[in-house]
Amino acid sequence: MTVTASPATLEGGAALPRLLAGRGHRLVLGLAEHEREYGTLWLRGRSGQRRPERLIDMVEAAGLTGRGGAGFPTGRKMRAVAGRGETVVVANGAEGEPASAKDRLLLTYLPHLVLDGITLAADAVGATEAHLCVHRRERDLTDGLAAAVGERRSAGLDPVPIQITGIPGRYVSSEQSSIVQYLNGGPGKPTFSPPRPHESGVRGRPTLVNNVETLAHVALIARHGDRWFRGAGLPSAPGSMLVTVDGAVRWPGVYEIELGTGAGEVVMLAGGPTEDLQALLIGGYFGAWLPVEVAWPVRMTQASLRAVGGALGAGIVIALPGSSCGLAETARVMRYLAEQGAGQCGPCVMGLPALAGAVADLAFQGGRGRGVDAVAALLPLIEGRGACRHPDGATQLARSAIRAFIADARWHDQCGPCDGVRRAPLLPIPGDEEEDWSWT
Amino acid sequence: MSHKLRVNPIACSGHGVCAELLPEIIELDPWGYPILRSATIPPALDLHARRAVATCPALALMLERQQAGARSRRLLAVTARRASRAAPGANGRGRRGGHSCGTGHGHGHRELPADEHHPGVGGRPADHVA
Repeated sequence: MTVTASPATLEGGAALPRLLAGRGHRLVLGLAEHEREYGTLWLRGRSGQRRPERLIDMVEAAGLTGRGGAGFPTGRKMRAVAGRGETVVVANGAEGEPASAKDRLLLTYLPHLVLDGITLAADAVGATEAHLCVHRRERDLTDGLAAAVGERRSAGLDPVPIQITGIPGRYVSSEQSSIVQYLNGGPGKPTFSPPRPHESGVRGRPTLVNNVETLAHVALIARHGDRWFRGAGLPSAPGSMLVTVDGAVRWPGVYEIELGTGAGEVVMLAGGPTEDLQALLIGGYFGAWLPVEVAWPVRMTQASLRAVGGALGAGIVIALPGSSCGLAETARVMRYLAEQGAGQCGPCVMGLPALAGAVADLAFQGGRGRGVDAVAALLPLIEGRGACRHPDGATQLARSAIRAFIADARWHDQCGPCDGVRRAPLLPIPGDEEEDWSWT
Repeated sequence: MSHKLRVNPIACSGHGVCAELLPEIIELDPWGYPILRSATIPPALDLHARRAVATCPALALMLERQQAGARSRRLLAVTARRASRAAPGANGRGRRGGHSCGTGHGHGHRELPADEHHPGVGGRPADHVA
């Protein structure tokens, strides 16, 4: 997948790109170029007067929400950790979504923006420890980040040293409790909560876990202020976000958009559809399929997508052409998700393979009139019954597939598979060789 | 104040004891794992819920105090109690003695087992029923 940055504005909106401003040339942005592009970072304000808590006020006033998928208000998260003794900051760069590329893009080309954010967050919450976690298989990423951290160390930029940690490359290992467990010496599987990381995280200390894009936004808010941040997006969902656009579009890649941009506009930003589209998958494998007529006008905010049964997730938009079979695509992803569980909770261990099997039967065998009901019957048995959100995300995807492709599903159920199942798979599924199967 | 029942899905290995002891609240899914019909335990079922919590072989079931508006949850997890039982002397105060279960609560519609199995007595009778 190519990574591109191109400006996009709502009518009368703010100038974008913001985060991707330094992506003009296809090079890693070094510290000097980074400061030239984004401005020098003053940890305590230009005059050295700013109290660390002032940043939390600014982030709260900016209305920044987590960009990793859950969309929790970042300021509130920071405040829950701040001033509670020796705290820990963890930047989550272990992009678990196979369809997402935005975190990798930031960490590869604009590492200092993320590292600025980590240092600012650590200062604001009084952290004595800061971690940046990425998948350990991605050696080029860890090497690049180590070089960037070294560059900053010689410039004396980070009062709290930032440690780069490679975590197991499984889907559920990028969940925040998994990361905390791994940093505590565990295998990197989700844990039962509460206590949540902000109560008791790395070594029992209050721990702030943020997605790397969220922290990059923090780095810009510290430079330009909350009013500048609110200059983009909607009053109820301010700022910009990175989206990964894939599927039947001319230029797949990572784009920066204002929150509230229509999903159709996002597709047009990526060069528009290459074929007639039947549906968009918004939010990735924890998101939902929406028929194209529903999805096209929907605004890219958590609230608007929730209202139509979707999810913003980590900002993924995949365009499904009319010639593909949405059920077959979903069946492949469901099988992947079932394999990617941590193997801890019964309903997930037993339920997801059963659900994946039911969707696969419907997609590839036909259901003899019972396939749709078989899928629907399994959903409530799985939802909300795991320690983490993995089973919930998987059921949401399956449910949305049945809803969005209901006519197709009935066809499969009565008459057997459609022609679309023979089309080459569209949604990216990491192969076994790319996966990091061991837990330790 | 009511109590809230929670299952730790990581610890649960599907023995199904809880569904035997608390069929009013807990049913089993096709794979034998518990599904809670409602998390809030009505006072009439409180003792039975405690018994289910105490009997779970995987220590996966727990009862939490639910306080409206309060952020802090007080765990009444049986694990803590078993730990204190394992260390005799740590819970000398009111240890079982003098606290008869099943009587005095006015809702003993079922014969309760001997104190041995009563989860609510491990050293803090004050916790007993809101």
